[in-house]
Amino acid sequence: MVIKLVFYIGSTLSILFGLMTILAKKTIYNVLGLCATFVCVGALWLLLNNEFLAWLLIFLYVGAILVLFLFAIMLTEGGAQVVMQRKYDVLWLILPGVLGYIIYRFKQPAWVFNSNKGINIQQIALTMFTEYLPHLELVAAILLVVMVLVVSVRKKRISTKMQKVSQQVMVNKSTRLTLVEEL
Amino acid sequence: MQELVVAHYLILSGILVALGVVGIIINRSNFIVVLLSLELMFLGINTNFITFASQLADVHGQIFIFFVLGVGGAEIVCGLLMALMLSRRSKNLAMDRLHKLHG
Repeated sequence: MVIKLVFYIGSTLSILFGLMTILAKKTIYNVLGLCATFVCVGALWLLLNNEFLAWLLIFLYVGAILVLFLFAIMLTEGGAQVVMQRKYDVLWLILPGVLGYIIYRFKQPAWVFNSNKGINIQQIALTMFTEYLPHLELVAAILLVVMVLVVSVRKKRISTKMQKVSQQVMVNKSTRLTLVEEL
Repeated sequence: MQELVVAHYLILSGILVALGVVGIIINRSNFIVVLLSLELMFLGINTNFITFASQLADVHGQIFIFFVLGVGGAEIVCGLLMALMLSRRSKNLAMDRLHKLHG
């Protein structure tokens, strides 16, 4: 009973914070709403005995990626910008309600959660590093490519002090020496 | 865990994905909020994955969540880089200003 109560509170809060994510007027509030949504959904994942992924979501996403969002907002002054929403855009919110109702009315088989004690991190690591090793390497390569991309784009802004050999060779007396007649 | 209903998790994940879609539609005037809505959609998809992984006691769904989180992180970093480059070229971060990044 307590677990069910926690689920209902968590899901209600996550939907409300999701609404705050897409409807808030200032970008800072959007990001904070997404933080709260992640924490609530992480709590719901914990109810399913998936401790590893739930803490991964909270630490990695709330701790790293959303803080990155905050940095980007501070850098682009997007936080000061008011989001322009038209008056009837709220009507789009019928769409999530309709979708949730369709899934609710759908003839479900009597699905229950598997009763054994969740999946521990050892199983995840064993499968990931044997069966899914090429995929893992591919994800690592994608992250490396993105890192190189970001560094290479930002690097052009830095003025480096390099020797330009062609300009050094082309120097002659007239470009360097000017005679001043009167002092 | 026995008291929980699978369908409730599916409804929650469907609502989160639909909220992400609606966020993309109504927040086209700010590129960063569009990225936030994408994150919301990722969250709904991952909730769907983890529901079925728990129902079937299958480890593959959880590993797929791991990959989705990794690729989503890379995608968000690319998007924020685009937002930074866009903010140099125009004060307004609207989606229809993205053509200013061309060339």
